[in-house]
Amino acid sequence: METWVIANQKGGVGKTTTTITLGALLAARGKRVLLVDLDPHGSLTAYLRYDPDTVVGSAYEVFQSGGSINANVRETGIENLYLLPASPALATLDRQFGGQQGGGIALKKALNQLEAQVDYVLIDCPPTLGILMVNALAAADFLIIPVQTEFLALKGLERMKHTLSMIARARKTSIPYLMVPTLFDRRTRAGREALEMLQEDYSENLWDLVIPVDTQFRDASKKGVPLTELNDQARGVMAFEALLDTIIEIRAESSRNRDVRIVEAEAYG
Amino acid sequence: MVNLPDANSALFNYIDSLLLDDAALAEGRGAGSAPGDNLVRDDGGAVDGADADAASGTDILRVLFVNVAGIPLAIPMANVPPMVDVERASLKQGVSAEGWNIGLLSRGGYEIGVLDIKDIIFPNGASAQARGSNSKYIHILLLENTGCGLGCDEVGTIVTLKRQDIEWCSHRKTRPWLSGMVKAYNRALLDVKEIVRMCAPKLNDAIRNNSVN
Repeated sequence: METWVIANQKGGVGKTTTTITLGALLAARGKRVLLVDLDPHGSLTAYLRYDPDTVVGSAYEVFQSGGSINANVRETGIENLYLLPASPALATLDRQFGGQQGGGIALKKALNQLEAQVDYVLIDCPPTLGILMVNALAAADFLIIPVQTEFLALKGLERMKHTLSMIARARKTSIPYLMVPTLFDRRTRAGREALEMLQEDYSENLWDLVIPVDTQFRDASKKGVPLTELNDQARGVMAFEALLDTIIEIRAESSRNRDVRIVEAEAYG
Repeated sequence: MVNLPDANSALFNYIDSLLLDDAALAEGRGAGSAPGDNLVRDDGGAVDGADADAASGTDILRVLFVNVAGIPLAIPMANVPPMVDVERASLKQGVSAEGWNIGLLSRGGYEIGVLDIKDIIFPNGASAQARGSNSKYIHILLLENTGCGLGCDEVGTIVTLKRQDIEWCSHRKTRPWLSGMVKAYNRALLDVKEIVRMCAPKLNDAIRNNSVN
């Protein structure tokens, strides 16, 4: 099981669209995928036609003592794609947990229950640093940071990188990540300039393609289905296909390197 | 006004505490040991960057600022250690010897011996006034690889110092726990390794007695 977290400490950068589209593409490739909505606003939950204000059983229950994840997973109407919905009550967890020891690994422990049942877990994070984001990052095998190609969005990246460095210190291991330029509109000068700045300042972990602005994403969200279900040839979908291929290649490379290290370690005793 | 740590330390402490799991605590007590067998290492362990004497031979030393009974202190620490904030009253009290108040903190099936730094730096018989009033809460720094924790009233930030920033003690007989003074901050620099060495027998007695009871 692989857990991918979609996070950025800036709102409106395309986290939910990234989560649902990548999830739907993985499901279409025959992978069993669980989408986890950790944002108390419940955008992903609402997208998939569940009402976060009234849904019974959500990610909130997973944080309760002895909470089961299986009991709260919902069907999405799409084969192989499942949802752990959000609830506004998630916003109270920071107050309830405070800085309580171990409160940041509750989700990771709960997801371990699903090891044999799903191939991928994709977590849609809230844009604020708190217990929910810490839980998501603690569970992450890989982090996807959507970055809107817009000047102000770039400022939020530094904050996200700072958070990542602190999480890495606390976990004593770093989280591999990829920054993904989103909502790119090549017709605007501001968009092109922001992309150039991204490429200059963050070339190392930046995806070399972009997710373009595509109004069909809006149409799909109105209908409550991933765009892949409406038009699998939409340019937005094609871009996410390319992104998925890149991430799978990165993960495969990482796995190969890990295997080599293990073999080397065994060879040298 | 509340005396807050700097923003970076506050964020890191928050994240670090959230990510602390039973395994990490167990590691701090010495991985692989069973509860009850898991006693404090009397060689002072290998606290992360906490060997002031060894550090005195190097140019750079990182210290954590803490306050105990209003006294500013510095503890050599490469990184902010795992930390637990608890009410003093919630600590199980083990045996008390030499005026030391030894508490036992239960975590992940282990008993962690906790020593209030105040008890170490004030000599036996010091007045209650000199020792400062006990605040309701105690911050416990969990010392990795030693199996014990040090209690203090306030935790500040980590500061990087140079060797020449410290007035190193040449005579340690009366205060073996004192490595020197951080000149610019007028803070006593504690020798954590020595403190653990001094306290290990008492802490282990407390742990053993508690596991028997």
